[in-house]
Amino acid sequence: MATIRTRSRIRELLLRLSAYLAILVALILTLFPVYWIAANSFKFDIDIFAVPPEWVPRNPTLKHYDEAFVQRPFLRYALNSFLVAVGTTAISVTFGTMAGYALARFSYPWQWRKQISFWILSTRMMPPIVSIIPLYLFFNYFDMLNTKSALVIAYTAFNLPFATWMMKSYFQDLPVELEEAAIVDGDTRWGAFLHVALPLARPGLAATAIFCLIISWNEFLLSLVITLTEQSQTLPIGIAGRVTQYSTYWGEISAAGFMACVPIVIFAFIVQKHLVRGLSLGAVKG
Amino acid sequence: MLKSDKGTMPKSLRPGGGLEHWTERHLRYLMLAPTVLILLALTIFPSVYMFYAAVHRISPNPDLPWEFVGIGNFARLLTDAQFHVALRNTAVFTIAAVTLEFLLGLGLALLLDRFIRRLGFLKTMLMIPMMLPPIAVAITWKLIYEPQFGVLNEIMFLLGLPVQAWAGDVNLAMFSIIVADVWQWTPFIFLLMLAGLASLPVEPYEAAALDGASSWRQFWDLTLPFLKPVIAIALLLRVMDALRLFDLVFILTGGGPADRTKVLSLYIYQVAYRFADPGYAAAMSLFVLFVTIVLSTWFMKRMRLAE
Amino acid sequence: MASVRFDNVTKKFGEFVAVHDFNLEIRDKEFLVLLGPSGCGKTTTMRMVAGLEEATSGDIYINSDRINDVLPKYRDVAMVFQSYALYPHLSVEDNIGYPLKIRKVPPEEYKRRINEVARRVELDTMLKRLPKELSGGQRQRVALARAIVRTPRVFLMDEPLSNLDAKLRTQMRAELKHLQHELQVTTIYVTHDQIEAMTLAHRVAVMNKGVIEQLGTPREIYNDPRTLFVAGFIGSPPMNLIPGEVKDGVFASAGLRVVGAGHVSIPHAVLGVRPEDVHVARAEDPDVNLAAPIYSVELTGENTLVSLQLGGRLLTLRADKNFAGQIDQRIGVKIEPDRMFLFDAETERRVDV
Repeated sequence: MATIRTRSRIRELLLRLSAYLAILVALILTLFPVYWIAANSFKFDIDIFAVPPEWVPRNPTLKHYDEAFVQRPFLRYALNSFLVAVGTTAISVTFGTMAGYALARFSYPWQWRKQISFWILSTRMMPPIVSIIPLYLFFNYFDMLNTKSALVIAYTAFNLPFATWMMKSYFQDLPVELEEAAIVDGDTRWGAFLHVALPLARPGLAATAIFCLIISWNEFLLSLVITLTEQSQTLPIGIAGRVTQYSTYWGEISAAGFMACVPIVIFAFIVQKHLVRGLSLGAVKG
Repeated sequence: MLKSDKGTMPKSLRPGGGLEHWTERHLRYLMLAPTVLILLALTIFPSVYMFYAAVHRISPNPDLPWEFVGIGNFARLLTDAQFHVALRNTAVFTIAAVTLEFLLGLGLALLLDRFIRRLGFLKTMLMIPMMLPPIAVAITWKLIYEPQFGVLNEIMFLLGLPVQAWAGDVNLAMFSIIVADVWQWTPFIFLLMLAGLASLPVEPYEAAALDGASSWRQFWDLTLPFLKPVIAIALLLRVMDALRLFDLVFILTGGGPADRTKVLSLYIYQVAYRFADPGYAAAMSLFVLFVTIVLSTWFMKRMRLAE
Repeated sequence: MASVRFDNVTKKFGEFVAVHDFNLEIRDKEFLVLLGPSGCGKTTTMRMVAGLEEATSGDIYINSDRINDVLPKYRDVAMVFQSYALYPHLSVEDNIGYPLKIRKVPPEEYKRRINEVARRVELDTMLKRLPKELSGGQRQRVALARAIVRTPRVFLMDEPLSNLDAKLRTQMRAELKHLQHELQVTTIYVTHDQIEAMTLAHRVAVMNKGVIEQLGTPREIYNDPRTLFVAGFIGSPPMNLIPGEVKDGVFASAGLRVVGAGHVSIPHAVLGVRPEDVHVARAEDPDVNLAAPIYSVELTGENTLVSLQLGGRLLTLRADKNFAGQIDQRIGVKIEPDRMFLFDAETERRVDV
């Protein structure tokens, strides 16, 4: 009896040790690349190329930040990214919230609810490369290439289904009696949505908005095709543009890349409770 | 004490009256309409337009008219060796990357489930990679893979192993792409599996333990079946994402060396813009669209995701 | 000042008929209870008055106004939900005041009314709290306060007491009854709990499968059940229902024989008798209706429930709390002939004798 208990205690201890070891290794592997790009963004070029590598910047400098954001138009790119992300998010969250609510609450004839939900989800599954050619030709036709509005329209195509599904799942979590109570208390159906459902879904709304911001901020392919001018290009395109066939401006792209990551990491911490739901389009509730 | 202060309803608000009544009656359609219309415009229009483009030869010169070629562009899919390479690369990448991510993510989740619940902060740290802009991930790994001064070769050197060209090496290029993708997306599987594990009921395990089932049996008989819906969703999303791989390849290898990492998205992009042949690119896009629709419909129908 | 009337109201959910050709008039100031098992259509009936469901056909009136197409906000009814449905993001005060705010009641009156109502339900010290900081009973009272704050024409209550523990439920029941008496507001109350129905109602409508089985005062429902369903549903422990045959006024079933049904004959009959109308006698007594061994003895406190086996089912009777019989002991029972009911098993309706 005693030996069994000892053995299981040893087993438990081993399990615990290996778990903590695994967490440690995973943390190092996860964070090192992020650290590495941050570290290199603060090094002089010569230190970036140092062999053996300089693990911690010995002569930290903001030179590359100056290059990227003052001498080169990365501030402009970042602003474009920001404006496009905000525009896309505003449209997607506004209409997605209404549609998500409708799909969560109302019934429709002929199984529309199911069909429309399914269709909206499948538009989210569509690879961007598929819509890129018609969008390009379309924006070309209307002379909208190289505009931020074109980017907002293109990004809405996949952020709107996302927002709809997210909000649908948040609204489905709310007890319907609260809105019914509001209706009996003298509110309209719309009023019950506005005064009761919406305030209660606020955390979900915020999470959805942040996810939309992240998705838009990170987008690359559509922007690559639609925008060619400094006035309209987003941050990822700006970064990619400094990786050329002949040389790569390591310091500069490290600085810009790191700055592109900072808001995302902050956002990730804000929405950490909603990560699971956001990443599974509302299908898994974390 | 509390006297009723209302008689019957005001006349103006009787049945059939006014805008408010109409709005209430049609609210279900009014709230859904903007989204449906926007998405119709942004999906149906491109699809139809793409069909139109796919049956034409489109000259890079916008002044020249489109030349109708019927199914010519689709026929090229059968004979275009580069397309077949891209197809195979995409399949290899998708299968390898998603399998690795799944095994790693599930394994880590099973190992850490009991220990990480109180470590919410650490958990969020582990989630960082998948939130990052793919372009930032790509340049980060480009920096790590750099043959001359990259940190990976430095580590190889320290370990006494031969240094490699990594993304520049014919045999290692695809592997390098996969590693970067696994780095970015394993946390996704890990997170979803943790969520699935957290929602497992306790009683069946207690019953199984009483029945004398080993932990291995418990995993096969209880954990895996319970996790099945979450696994399906995770795999669906990962597969759909892997099929559209673009950013990593664009930055790390540009499709090379020797087309070893040329994936479908990249090839379509090249055909459309570098080779200025949007008609053929449209035909390929339709093929990709067809594959994703079949795959995702099959998946979603099976999982009843639309519910 | 309101009566509610249903004229041939039918409600279907797809193919399922929830309420079938329903006719009922609830009088002004009346406390009417819709009683029935879950799925009988009672809640649907009430929700149609609130405007939360639309009638598939038929007309619903409040006073002389047909309200089928009137938006809920103009119906001027208030509802207490089973889950209370308090707005979790609003304080007690704002919860109670919500109906007033929607109606744009001026601030002084708003304050005055909330205070008045809060005092009435003893919540005046908790106005600033959030619902999650309240106990179950307090939440219930907030829900009630929200309903009475604007003195609606009709109260609708959907199993308002079912989430309370037994003791609190008894207390709130009395409160509700008093409140309705004081406010004199027409009330429709839905429950599956027959005790609530008996104690609260002026009249009870017993519902089953979307139709009213019987409408009457609690006393009528209890003493004069018109159908087999009502007989079996009302009463705790339930009425004994024994299938058998009536021939020229004599009921017979395995081992049981009761005389006294006039001269009627029913080939497939059910005899119904309440446990308190069955009396213990000595087994040897010649005029017992049944003699059988005791199957179980349950002391409830105020009396003893004794069950006998009778042709594969149990006959339960309510005996004195000092009943001393043991299991397997053979006893006789007597049934009061004028307290028994006979039903036709085919039509499930009562047969008058």
